[in-house]
Amino acid sequence: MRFDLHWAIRYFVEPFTSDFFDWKIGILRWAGLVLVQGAVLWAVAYYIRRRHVRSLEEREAQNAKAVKITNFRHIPEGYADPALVVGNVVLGHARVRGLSILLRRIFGGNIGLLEDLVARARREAILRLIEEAQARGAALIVNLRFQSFAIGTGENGAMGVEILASGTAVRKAINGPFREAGDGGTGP
Amino acid sequence: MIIITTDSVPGYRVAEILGIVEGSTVRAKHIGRDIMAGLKNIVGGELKGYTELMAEARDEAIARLEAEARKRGADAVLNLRLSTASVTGGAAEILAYGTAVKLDAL
Repeated sequence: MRFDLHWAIRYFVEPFTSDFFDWKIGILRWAGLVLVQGAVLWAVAYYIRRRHVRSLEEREAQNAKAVKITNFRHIPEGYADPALVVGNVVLGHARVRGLSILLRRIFGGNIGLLEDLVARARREAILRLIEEAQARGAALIVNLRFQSFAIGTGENGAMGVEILASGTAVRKAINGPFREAGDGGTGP
Repeated sequence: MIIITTDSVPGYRVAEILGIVEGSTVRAKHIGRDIMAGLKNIVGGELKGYTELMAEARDEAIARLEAEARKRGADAVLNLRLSTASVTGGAAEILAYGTAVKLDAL
């Protein structure tokens, strides 16, 4: 059997037009189509989430210890050459798994899907921040701040959540807190 | 120009405070990106178009802040803050503000 357009028309339309089939069979076939589609999309959503978690775990194991992060407001002694670093990411939750959100909003409780979404977005933003700081050769990030923002707001809720992590990256000072001449810094 | 989120610069002393400087922008992506983001939303994952949008808007806001600080003759902008507001669907306002200062080497 060939699954082409011709077949699809016969399979999904004929029950409603011919006398041979009952229209209930047609309804069942359409319901089956929706279920199969849902299952495929659900599997894709599961795979995308799994892949992201794996990538986060790998990168965290690689460079979590490379740069220390603090939210001190002042740069400690022994560090110099400060620069702004930011990491941001916009993540969307899977709409095909959205039924759990609806149920939670009726019965109350933790919305695991969205908790997971925000947690992953924050880990990703921190990783991008660290990667940017590392590219500058920084050893420490001072005054870390998080911000979140719902983007693409429409009638059926936001499309995604943006997490922005920002801070000041500083290098280890070789010779006290003073800037070395010609160290590649962006002087005033 | 030094643009940082801390109150001080190591190795420098604040010589003169010039006051608050700010830069803001409202940006949107073209409708194709919005549609692609809507499709990606069915299965979840990163909405790359919007990540880019926010990064571009942030860079633009900081560039405008820097231009204003330069006009006032500042050496650095300290205690930079970024804030975001939703203006309309698929668009974002980013505001960057901080204190423009003149620096003296210690």
